[in-house]
Amino acid sequence: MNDSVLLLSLASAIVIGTPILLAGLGEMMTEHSGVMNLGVEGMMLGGGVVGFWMSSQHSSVALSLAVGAGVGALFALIHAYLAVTLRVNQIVSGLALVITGTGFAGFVGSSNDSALIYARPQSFLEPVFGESMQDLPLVGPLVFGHDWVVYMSWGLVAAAAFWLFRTRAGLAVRSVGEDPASADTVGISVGLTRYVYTMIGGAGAGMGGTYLMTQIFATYQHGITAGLGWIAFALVTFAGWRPWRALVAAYVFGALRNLGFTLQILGASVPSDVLNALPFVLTIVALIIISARPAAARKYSAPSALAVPYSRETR
Amino acid sequence: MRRFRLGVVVLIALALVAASCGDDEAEEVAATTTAAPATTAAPTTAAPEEPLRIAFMYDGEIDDGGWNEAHENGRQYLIANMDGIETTFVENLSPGSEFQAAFEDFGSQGYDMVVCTTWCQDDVLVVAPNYPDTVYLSWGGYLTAPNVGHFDGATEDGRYLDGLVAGSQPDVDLIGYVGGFAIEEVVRGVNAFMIGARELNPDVEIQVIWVNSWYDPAAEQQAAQALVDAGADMLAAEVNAPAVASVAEASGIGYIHYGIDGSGLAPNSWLSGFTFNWGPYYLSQAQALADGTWEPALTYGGLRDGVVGMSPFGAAVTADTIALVEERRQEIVDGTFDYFAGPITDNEGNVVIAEGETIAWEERTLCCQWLIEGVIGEIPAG
Repeated sequence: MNDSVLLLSLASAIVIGTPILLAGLGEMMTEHSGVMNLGVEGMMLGGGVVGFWMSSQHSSVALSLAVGAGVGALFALIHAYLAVTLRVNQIVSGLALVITGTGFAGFVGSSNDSALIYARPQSFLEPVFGESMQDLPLVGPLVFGHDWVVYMSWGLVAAAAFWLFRTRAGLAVRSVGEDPASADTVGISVGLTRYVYTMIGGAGAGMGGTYLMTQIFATYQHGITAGLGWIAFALVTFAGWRPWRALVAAYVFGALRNLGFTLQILGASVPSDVLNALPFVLTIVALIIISARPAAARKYSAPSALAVPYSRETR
Repeated sequence: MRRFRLGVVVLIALALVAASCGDDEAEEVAATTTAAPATTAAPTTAAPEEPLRIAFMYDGEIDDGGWNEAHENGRQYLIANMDGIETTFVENLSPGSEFQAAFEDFGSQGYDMVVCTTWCQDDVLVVAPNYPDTVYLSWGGYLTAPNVGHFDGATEDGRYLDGLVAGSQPDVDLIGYVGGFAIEEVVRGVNAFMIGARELNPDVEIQVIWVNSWYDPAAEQQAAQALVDAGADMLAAEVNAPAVASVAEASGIGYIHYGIDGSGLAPNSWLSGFTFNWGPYYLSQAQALADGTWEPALTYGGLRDGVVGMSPFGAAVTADTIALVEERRQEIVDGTFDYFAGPITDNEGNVVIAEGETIAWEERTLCCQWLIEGVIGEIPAG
């Protein structure tokens, strides 16, 4: 039963959901500090292309992921400077980052002596668990068939949930996102917090982009993220700013991307445009459901100061 | 407030930086390449005083490892083989207003020839009458005008030979085929591929998936992965980007590429992939224009015309297979073999080409709106 089309499709959903999860989790951290960064797609491409280049030069996957995360964080630093220090409109700044990151990736991708599309990563991750575990019915391919990055992403979800909602530092971050003036009065540095968490978001996007290019696609191509960054952005809202929900949502969105092709193999044809729109439709539906229930709306709503620049003089 | 204004200024500066990065690319794009002195035989006519100016329009990047790269190779061939020309190109254009704007631009700048390397008949026919002194060539069209000609390559010629290679591989029961759109050209290619494959492996089946895009690396990767998950023992692609090659390589199964030598994309999986050689066609058109003999025409070129060729074969292809492919290629060139000779049945059991019938060369582009027997999948309605 482990080779049924449907089950393999679900396992593929976890694979394609992982970069969405990494980028979405990063963006969630950013948004909890009150900064909205629309530039996820650009940071995935910009960080990912450098991470991919690294993977073609060196056999350490961890190194490539770290380089991709670092470059993603540098892109986010631009946004942090604009959004936090200069207090520009975060939507405009984020969109500028999408364009910059995409252009950067296109430039790096074709400016090398040998175009990156003909480069290949030097090494690929193997599943962590042995064959016997992977052959278990149902849970084999779904739970035990993955590389360590997938398990690390699960660990990051748990860590983020714990950090944000169970620690004093997490409370400080959320207070910066909810009410920066109050946080400021108790001595929390609003600016520093927002810088750090914006860069964490960029690191998540860069790592997600690197994983996508080096381990899933094993190739760099222009515009390879194909909207996954936007899905990661929608994921934060769909998940109600909760890490565990993001884990589920990332795989739901991942499954939707595979669904069209699986359906074609099974003999049913749904236009791919409809399926591509579904993550966003689901996000809107989730927003409607949440807003219709006041208790849920309080619990799963955006940080109050999201995308609002903080200025001590004007509070 | 001052800080706010500063922010706006910085944002504008950033936008300018981004724009200037874009400019770099634009410069690269608009860089006019003057033909180097031809190293090969001198052209038959003396170079004209005024250089012949030729523009190329692409709907993707010139290094996409597929469709556009093949056309770009054609442009390079033209540069290398003809004196007295100047060429330029624009990448990443979209059909509609962008195509029309580019046609207008090149027309008003007095270009002698504008080549659109993808489907742009609808747009070229709107603009071409305004610039009667400019010759427009468009890929795949069928309605000519006094200054508009069309060209197309016989995908099916190459696909039939690729199919032979696919059929020669041992232990292959299901071939996964990633197609762009289910248009006639692609369906014709799948059908010819199947005829070749079943010639050597009568029981093989093809599962086809349409990704409804010509360039969507993510969708192609997922479609290919879904095919492998469904049990495909080999992958073939008819899309512009090389994502399918990556999946084949990662899955350790054979791979057949489309339109260009892509052996570098999947060194271990590589079996074959027919090539489009647009260069000689471009050269003939430019030469005719220089000689004053250019006429609008529909050019449909296959193996016989040299428009379609073959890449080097992969290591898994035996000498016997290569000999057979070469034999068939020669027979097609000589006109002694017709892979579309009936009877041919579609995958719903209807006889679409009766015994003794075939698809005439002139009617090739009208075929096919049916998938041949053994192909799993359907042509979506509309």
